[in-house]
Amino acid sequence: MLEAFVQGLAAVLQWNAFSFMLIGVALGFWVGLLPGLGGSTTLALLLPFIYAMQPVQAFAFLLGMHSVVATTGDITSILFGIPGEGTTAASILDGHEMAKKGEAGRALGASLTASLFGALIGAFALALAIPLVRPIVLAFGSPEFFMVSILGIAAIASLSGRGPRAMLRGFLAGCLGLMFAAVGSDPQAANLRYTLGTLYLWEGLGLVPVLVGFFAIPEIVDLAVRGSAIAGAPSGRLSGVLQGVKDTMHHWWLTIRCSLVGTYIGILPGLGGAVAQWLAYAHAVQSAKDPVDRERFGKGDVRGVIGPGAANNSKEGGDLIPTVAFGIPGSSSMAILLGGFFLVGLVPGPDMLTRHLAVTYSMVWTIILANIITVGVSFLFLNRLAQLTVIRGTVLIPFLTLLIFTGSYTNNNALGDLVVTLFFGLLGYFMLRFHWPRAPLVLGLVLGKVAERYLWISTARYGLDWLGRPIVLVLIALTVLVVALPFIQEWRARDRMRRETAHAT
Amino acid sequence: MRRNAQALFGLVILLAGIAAVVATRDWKIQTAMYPRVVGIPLVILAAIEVVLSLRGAPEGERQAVDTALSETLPPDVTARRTRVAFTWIVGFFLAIVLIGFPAAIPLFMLAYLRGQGRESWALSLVLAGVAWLAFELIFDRVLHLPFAEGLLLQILRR
Repeated sequence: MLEAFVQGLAAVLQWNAFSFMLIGVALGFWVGLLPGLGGSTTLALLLPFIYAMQPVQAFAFLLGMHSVVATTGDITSILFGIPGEGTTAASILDGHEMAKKGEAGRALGASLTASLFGALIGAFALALAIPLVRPIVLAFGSPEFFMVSILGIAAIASLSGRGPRAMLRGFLAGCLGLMFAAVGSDPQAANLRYTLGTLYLWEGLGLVPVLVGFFAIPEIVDLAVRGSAIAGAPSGRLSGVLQGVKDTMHHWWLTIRCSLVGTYIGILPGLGGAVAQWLAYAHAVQSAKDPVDRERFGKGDVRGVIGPGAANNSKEGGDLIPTVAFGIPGSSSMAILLGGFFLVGLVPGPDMLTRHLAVTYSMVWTIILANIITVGVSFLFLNRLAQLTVIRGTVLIPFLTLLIFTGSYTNNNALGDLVVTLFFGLLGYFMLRFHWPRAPLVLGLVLGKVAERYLWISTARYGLDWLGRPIVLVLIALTVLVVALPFIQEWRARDRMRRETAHAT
Repeated sequence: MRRNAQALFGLVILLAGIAAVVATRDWKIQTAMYPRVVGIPLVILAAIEVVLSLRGAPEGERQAVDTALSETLPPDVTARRTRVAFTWIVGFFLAIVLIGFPAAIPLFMLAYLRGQGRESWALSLVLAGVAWLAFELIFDRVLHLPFAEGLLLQILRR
């Protein structure tokens, strides 16, 4: 096995494979920066180029591109409040707030370092987990996957703010997101739901137009209202970058935990990076010591940058595990990559763990090397990138508006994409205006389709008996705990305060 | 005033939720089960939210775990600037629908930079040109994405 590990590295370092990886990395760098233009779309566009390549070259090219889009997507999210990728929207909540406060350098430093660690942990998980992960994945059936979806929404909704009112709005937003996921043809009988008589909505709401409008339009409106640059005060050169790196080192345990969250979500079929980032964010919020500490999230807490930054990169390694080992793609990107396997004459499954083990390990090395290169290059240009936050708002706004509309249009190449972007822009604005959390809505939308499919299969197959399955029971208990935890923390904080007041008097 | 606006927002969500649940009444169980399972709690939670908003119930901690809009300017200034910003965004959308992306981009850039940003003619023209060039190079020449022709051009062609 060690021999194959070294052979994998040697194969990636051969000049032709390495050159293809560099081309992939350069493409991924820009795809990540441009909002809307997604990694999976680009992966599909690149597939025809690999016909003549050797397997190691092909995967160096494809994975080199795909494994770095989340890294640079975080840069756009932090600097402009526009999700560079669907998988980097969670970085906006605290990262963009830091940029507004003139701490763009610190946020970027933390995000890039967390991304690097996330990618490394995900890659090593891929290397180590292949022989171990099979029983874990196979132990999960439809009922367990449904409960994982519910647990995810409960986690983010319950952590949406302090107090019962905030939690009410969190769950309301989660239900709204789940309801939006019902738009389009239903997965059971393909009957149309809420399509308003339009062909455009038959396939449901596209994640890119929703996310771009939901997060970016309120930011642009707010920038126009403030009438200043993104960063209120010029930050000069980015002295905070090193601080961001130190922050990630300081919160090393959070980085590792969120990376593992990302890896595990990557392994589970159908969930993917859009879910991993929010669960990691929820986990970061949950790790707050007390309700007062939790209040800092959403207002520029570096932990809110580290969590999603680590998870959206570590999921890449996790995503590859079921794809390589069982030929079960965990996400749409991996389904496209699966096509790449067949194009270069490989069949995913046991062969990838025996005869072609060196190719499998070359994927691990590609993820590692591509991320090291991207983070290194990003650090070189951070000063220039962060200077964009001190450009006058009046100059920046038309460019950002242009990026929003072109980015969302690339989803389906339809004007309907723009209407969806406008609608969700307005909804996002009002939700912010009235202090409704947006994260549960996004997670509900992402998980809705998956949850519906698994709920239907579970009920059709097991009736109500699925509720008694052992792992389902554990997940139900976890869901109850996640909902109760903020109340317990609140109660303990009040109790502590009461005791301190009594002690003082 | 704010309380009424909050209640109105909750009411819109409540009515949308009711409409979504009512729409399922003639659907087969496979199609209707999920929207009902999700829609009924949505309606109940939205109704509670509307009642709490109308009663002026304390929000507890005001901020959700999310970014916050600026609240440093007087409300009337904020409201006016918000309306103007949305008008520009909707205006760009309408321009795309009517004349298509390639023409709408330089037009919007120029109009915004001159009209709203009060930038110089030289800077406005240069930036509008850069935006158009970047669009043409990336989306048209490199990615070959099919951008819809404007409605006006389609009508003129007939």
